[in-house]
Amino acid sequence: MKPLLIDMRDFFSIIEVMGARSYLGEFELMLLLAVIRLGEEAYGVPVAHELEQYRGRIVSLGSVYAALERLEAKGLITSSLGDPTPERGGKAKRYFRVTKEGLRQVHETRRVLTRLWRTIPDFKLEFHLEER
Amino acid sequence: MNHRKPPALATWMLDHLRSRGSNEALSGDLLEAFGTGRSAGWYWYQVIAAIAIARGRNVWHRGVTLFFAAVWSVFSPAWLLLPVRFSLDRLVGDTSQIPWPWSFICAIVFGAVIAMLFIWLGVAVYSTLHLLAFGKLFFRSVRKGFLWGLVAYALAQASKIAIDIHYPQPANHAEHWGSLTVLGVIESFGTWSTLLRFPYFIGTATTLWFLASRDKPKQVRAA
Repeated sequence: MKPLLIDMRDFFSIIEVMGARSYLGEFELMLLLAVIRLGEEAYGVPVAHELEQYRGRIVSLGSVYAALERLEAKGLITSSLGDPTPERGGKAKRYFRVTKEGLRQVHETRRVLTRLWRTIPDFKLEFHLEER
Repeated sequence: MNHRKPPALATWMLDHLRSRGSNEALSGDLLEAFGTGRSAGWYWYQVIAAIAIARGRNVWHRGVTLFFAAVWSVFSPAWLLLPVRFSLDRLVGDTSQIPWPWSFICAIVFGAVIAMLFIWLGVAVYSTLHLLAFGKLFFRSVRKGFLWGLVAYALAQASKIAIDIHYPQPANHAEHWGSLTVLGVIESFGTWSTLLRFPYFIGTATTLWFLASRDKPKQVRAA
């Protein structure tokens, strides 16, 4: 019989904990981390560049803005317009900044993910990689 | 700095086909990135993806609104049955005793009040569901929603009346309608029941459409 990836008791406790709060999606978490890392220079181009660097594939700026707007609607980031510049065709940059709530959720997601990772023994991960 | 020009058609498409809040910043970002050596293919990919994402979100948002309006309008015959069941029309008196045109105006106003109450009860239900799902309300302009909802309902009701006059319903229909139960009218999906729901669907959909926010955040210039 194939060993399960995680213990069922852990699985249900994780589901229970995750059901109590809304957690960040993978892309949202990446965006928040990129915005935190870039600090004052967090606008579309460097944010997308940062994601491309770490994910290793082209990122659509449209999807970056869609996710950032979603995060803004949730109150996890705020945005403000900079001054228009000629190299941007006279169009302003939109700077993003993580709110306190955004930071709290990043920490919370890391805490949950770390707990989740700790429930998986190394040999189980290796077993599943070998199967592929 | 490279001063190459990006594909003009792509830029035009981005400016005209993507009607969302972050358009200016996104256009500027694409121009800036293109100026640093990105290819025309990359620019086209970004523009098409941005338009597809914006349109997809819009359709999804509107689709949910239309779906709710369709589901909500299913209950409208039951709502119309309530004044009959509880004799609410007696509250405004016997309008047939009032001389024309006041009798007609009274009937119109009474019908409109009943309809608006139903539509705004639907708005309250939709708002509650929206609040539970997203943790926020979706209102943009209540006045606009109310006015356009009323106008759309009135036009749809006028169309329904015109159809009723042109294609008179069976003589026994009114009698049959009065004898139905609340559950019975909800389950009734004949031609006349569907036609009856039509103004309520249009009114609810239009009200929600004009109330719905596009999540366009307020922009402030950085200091």
